Amino acid sequence: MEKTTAMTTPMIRMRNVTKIYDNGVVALEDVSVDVGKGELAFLTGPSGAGKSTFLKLITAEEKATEGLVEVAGHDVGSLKRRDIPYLRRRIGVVFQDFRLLNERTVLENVVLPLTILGLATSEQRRRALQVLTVVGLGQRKDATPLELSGGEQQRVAIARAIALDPTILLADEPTGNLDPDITWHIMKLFRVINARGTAVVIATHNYDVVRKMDARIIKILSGKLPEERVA
Amino acid sequence: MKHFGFFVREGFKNIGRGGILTAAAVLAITFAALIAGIFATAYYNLRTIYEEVKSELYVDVYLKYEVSERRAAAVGEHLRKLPGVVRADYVSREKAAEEFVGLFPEDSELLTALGENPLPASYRVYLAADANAPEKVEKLVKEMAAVDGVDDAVYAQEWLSNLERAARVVGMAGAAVGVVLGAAAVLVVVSTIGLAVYARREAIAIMKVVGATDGFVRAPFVVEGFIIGVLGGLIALGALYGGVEFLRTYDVMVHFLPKTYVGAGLALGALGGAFGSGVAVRRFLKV
Repeated sequence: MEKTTAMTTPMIRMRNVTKIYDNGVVALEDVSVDVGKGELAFLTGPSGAGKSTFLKLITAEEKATEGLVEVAGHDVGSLKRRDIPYLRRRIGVVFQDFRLLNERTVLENVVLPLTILGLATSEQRRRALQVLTVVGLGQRKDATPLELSGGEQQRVAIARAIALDPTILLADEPTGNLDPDITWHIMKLFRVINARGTAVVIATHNYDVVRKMDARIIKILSGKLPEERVA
Repeated sequence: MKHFGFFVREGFKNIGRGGILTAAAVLAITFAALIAGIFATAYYNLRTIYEEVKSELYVDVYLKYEVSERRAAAVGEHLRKLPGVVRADYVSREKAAEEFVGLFPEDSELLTALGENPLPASYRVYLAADANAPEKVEKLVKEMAAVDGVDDAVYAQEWLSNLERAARVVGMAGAAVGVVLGAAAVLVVVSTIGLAVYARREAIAIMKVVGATDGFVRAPFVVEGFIIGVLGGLIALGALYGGVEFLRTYDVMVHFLPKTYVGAGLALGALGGAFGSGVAVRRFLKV
């Protein structure tokens, strides 16, 4: 049984969403789902099931071919191009390959979204150091990403993702490149972030982790969510 | 502009990261600016000579031999009343002979050999600066030649209008070449910065993921292009200055470009560079 989210405001709301890419591949088909405020959910399914597309629809990297995608009450499909950056500032994203800027230090990577937001330099630094402490990397702020282990790099990426205190955190196979014990550490970090009130959606095909985490599971199979029921 | 400092810092860092691609873009601008600068220098110098000569020009109005002194005075009156005439100085036959000897001392026996002074009396007529346009002068000279008692009116008209035409042709050719080369330089900047941008497309994508607007991503590249334009312009100006100084050591009286030309050239280079790189980033923004 899936846990119901009907009492809380959905942070992510999809209704009859279909995504067909230009090359004809049907990535998602008639998907309807809600993810509530402050919820922690795993998006599971085999490679190519549509997990990444699901996340990209939320960040407006891709546009739904049909159906409604709402994030924090905003219809993502009808957003103007110039408004998309403001949506993304409310969403933190973590990737399997970390996507850090390797020619910049750890601190500079984490500061980047705060710079974009236009905060004062001292405030940027203060908040970046704060989130680096949350992920346990306060001491490594002057290192460059390539001097860090994979697990540390992913923690930098997480620090960057939560620097703007997002209402939603999306993670696409965040532990795909990491050892099992480091994986566990990263998952606990997501749990901590979720406990601060951020809705967290983690796409993964690592069922071992999912089973141990005791959280909602959204199963995705060939672009469909066979077990989801929405009001 | 709360991000201004960030954009400038990033722009300079981009220059460093661009390496050889940045150098190629600078070189392209340098080359275009140098060619345009050579034309501008040629135009400016011809123009300067023209203006200088023009301000000193006068018309020699030769009187007929048989003209009486009264008639000669009347011609003078007439000439002075013509529009555009500032002054008309009478040059008597004796004075003309003196001037001839002064100008060609070696040929002075020519005058004595003839026994009689062959030179006619004349009026040296100075024109107002605004009457000096070649067409106007031509008309005026014809009018002078038609005055009763005047044999001929002589003016270095052909030479002057040729010079004026040369300056105009050089100016137009320079402008045309400048436009073509400028466009070519902008294209080179677009493609070289395009390559540099391509190398950093991942960084651009990351910036967009964390909520950067297109303007935010683009601004450092525009700053980079601006700097490239200024650098290219400065190098070209330096080379041009060196060339002018070199010519002067050989006693060729060439002037370097005035400040307004230099400023305009630098501004054009900077804008071209900024525009080129703004365009180059465009297609990588769609993330």
